[in-house]
Amino acid sequence: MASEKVQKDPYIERIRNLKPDQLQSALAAFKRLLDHETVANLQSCVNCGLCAETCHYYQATGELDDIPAYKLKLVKSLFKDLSTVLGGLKEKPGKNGVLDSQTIEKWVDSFFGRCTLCGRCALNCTMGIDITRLIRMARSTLASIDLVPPELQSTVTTAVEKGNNMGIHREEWLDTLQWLSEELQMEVSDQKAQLPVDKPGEKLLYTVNPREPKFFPLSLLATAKIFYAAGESWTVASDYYDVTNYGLYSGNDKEAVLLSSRLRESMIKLKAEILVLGECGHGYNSNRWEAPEWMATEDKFEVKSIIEIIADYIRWGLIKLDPSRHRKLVTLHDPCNLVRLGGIIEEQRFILKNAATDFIEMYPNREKNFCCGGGGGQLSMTRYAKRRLEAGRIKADQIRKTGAQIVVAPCHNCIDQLNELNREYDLKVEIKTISEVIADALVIDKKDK
Amino acid sequence: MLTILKLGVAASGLFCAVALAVILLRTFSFGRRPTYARPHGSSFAGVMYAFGWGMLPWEKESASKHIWTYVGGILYHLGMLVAMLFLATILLRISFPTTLLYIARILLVIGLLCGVALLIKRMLKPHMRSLSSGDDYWANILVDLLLLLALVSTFAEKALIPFLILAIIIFIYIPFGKLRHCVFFFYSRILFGDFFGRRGVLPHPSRKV
Repeated sequence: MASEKVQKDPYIERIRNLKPDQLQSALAAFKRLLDHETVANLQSCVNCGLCAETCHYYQATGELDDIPAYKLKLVKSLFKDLSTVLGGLKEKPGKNGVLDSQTIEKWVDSFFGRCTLCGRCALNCTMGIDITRLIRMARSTLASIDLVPPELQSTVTTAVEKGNNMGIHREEWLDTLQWLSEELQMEVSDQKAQLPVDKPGEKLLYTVNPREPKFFPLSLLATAKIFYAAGESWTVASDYYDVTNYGLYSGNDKEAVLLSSRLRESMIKLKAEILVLGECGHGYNSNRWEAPEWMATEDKFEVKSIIEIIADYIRWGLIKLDPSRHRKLVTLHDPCNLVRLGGIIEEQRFILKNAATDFIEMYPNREKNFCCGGGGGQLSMTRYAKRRLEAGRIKADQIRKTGAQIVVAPCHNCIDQLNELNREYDLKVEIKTISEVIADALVIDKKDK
Repeated sequence: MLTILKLGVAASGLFCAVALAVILLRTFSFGRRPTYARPHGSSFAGVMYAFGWGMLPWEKESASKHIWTYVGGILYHLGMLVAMLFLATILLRISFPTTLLYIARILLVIGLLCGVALLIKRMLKPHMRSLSSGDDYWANILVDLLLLLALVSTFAEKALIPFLILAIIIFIYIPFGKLRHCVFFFYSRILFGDFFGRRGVLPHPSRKV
């Protein structure tokens, strides 16, 4: 497990051949990233080790390297090396400077390969240390010398260069929307129904995970059907519609800013009132919470999750649901970035209780839920796939214990991982988005339309 | 001799306070990033939670799954508090009422036992050993000794001399080792409450302040 590295991997070779000036750059980047919160957190750990079992990696492997405090120790060592006894920063690191190629290799393995940035350790830390933030800071340090694992970086680069992380061409996107509009018209028997593109002045600008148009177009159709049923005023952008932001995971703030600012550009261009983030956990966290901090700007419009929007439709009686269409036992997976780090906790439960007859919680749930193992960019970093699936065993066990036949996950990243866990652990469950469940339960009075 | 040692304790206590203040100021000097995202919950409620409900064992898996370590840790810290209060009474020449003295002795014994148990756990568990540095052991041993000497001092005045000497050593040690968490614990918990409070994660909706 620990030696899950490909021989002669050019990435690893690059790490092993780091030059002193690159290490100096990394040190400088690390120093730049320190602020009073990170410094306070770095001085607070008492090595109690009680965070160990809160991590799904450690629960799955029992390896020392997977204990959050151990990962934190790697960052603390560097900070200790750089700081004076009274907490200031030295001009130069200590005689036995800890940052060398070997340490960097360890950092990469720990921070990219053994963490999904799920925040569970931070929530449970007896001291309250934001371990997630410190690990992302370490990723940013690595990103500063271009040491983001190439598979993850290529996802970011594709998004930067092509406008979305799947590299979908504009024509392909527009074709898909056209085709889905026709499907929607057939489903609701209304020739005026459509998925509007670049329509200015609408209330909502809807953003999607590009996996939807690429692989799961029916998921996008489901959301369109909900908007249609609610009589919503909405549009999508023809250029920047990608809700994902893998800059959150790579640690490269410049790229993260670029990706999130594009959605803001679309908002301004189309004069929409609310930026609605599709079912994507990290997309929600990055665009709702992190982007304003990265960009040092307060949004002049509301940023909401589609989950909040759907919950409001139900509350306000804008959509009618027939829960009897879902008679199978349904459980809910709480995506870490949406729930523990995002604060969208009860809405999805409210929705499912209105859309299905039998709903069961997995345990633990809500902010205490376990990560599925697919976050943190793990799904794109194929080099750690074996570890990812092993760590996902905790989630698989949680699902199995519920006895549910349908697992709902309001996050496409999670859905991809859950699909893999379904195969790997033979769970025999259906995995759906919230929108898919709602669309199936929708009662559309065709006479009214 | 006692008078000199008491002055030494006061001086080292002052040094400790000044050094911790300097460390805190240095920490602040790293700068605070302003927050721009619109809050979804309340920072204040989050901070209240962090020091209230959030400290209860069932709120944190790290505590609920290690309930004996959690209880041991609480009692250990309670013992330390008693030792510090006992030290204050000596410096301020306040006599401990007999009933309180009995309670203090019980708490010191329990605290000492818990401290030793936590030290043994750290030494015996391979993962804990790997996580630990010399500072982790020294800090524990010094505090255990402080509790022991405080306890003995409540019976025999002669023990006051080593007790006060150890108090001086500990006050000087605090700013440079893990014992500085006596300040940073509060710092981190405030940040914790602020983060999860703003995001509307904690306190959980059913327990909003």
